[in-house]
Amino acid sequence: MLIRATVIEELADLLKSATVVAPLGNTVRELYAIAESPSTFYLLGSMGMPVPVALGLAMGHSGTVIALEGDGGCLTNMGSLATAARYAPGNLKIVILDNGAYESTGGQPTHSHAGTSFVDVARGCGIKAAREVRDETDLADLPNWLALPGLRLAVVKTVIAETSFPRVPLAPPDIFRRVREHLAQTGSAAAGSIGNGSVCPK
Amino acid sequence: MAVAYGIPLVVAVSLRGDEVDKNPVQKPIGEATVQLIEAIGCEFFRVSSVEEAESALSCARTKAESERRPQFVLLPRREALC
Repeated sequence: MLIRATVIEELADLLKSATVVAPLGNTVRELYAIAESPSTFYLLGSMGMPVPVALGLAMGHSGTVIALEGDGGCLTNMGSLATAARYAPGNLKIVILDNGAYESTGGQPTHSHAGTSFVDVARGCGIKAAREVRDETDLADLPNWLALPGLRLAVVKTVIAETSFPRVPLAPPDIFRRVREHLAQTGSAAAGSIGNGSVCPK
Repeated sequence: MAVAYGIPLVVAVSLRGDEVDKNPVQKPIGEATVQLIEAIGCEFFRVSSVEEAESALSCARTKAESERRPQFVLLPRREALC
């Protein structure tokens, strides 16, 4: 079992170079403290949304998009794994930080704690490149593995964090604007104007 | 989420629970849909014919972008269209 902060530190270079969609709760605070980047979409209160949001970004953007998710969030919206597998953009990488608990609400155990395997679920959905990361050796290999072509999902087994970090000080509209500007600078269809200039009746 | 982040999202709502819906379980949400949209401070475009759908979606896109706020397009059941 790994320490989540160590995992984020190990992945920091990759996370800063990609478009990242981050989960809510303590994880997003740790991510901001350790690997802040204007290309990270900090989801401050939308449980279960990192994978669908990242899927949408990956479908409209040629660069690497990483969905960071927790086990509780993944359980909240597990169908999103099937949707990701259905469309399978090769630039989408999913990293589930699995501590077996709803840490932010007091550490209540999740189904993962009772045996649910996200790797098995992902493979069943059609994400064949799915693996667990359990120790330092696995973790050292993770950035290179994620950089390989194709949709990939890693389940990183971590312990419940003992350190809490401050809240992300950014306003949600500013988070969105920063990510949008990043996407525009890196040539994304998703960041283009969506209006057609037509005049609409009041 | 889309409201809080100011995301110019267009939401196409497939309406159920209207006057032509025979399923009573759909009625509560059907009767509350407009109020729910308004309760989160958003506006909606109501489509009453197939011909209106394209312009409604186009207007919703333009308005969503200019106001940095989600816009809803209400799509009724086929039987309710003009």
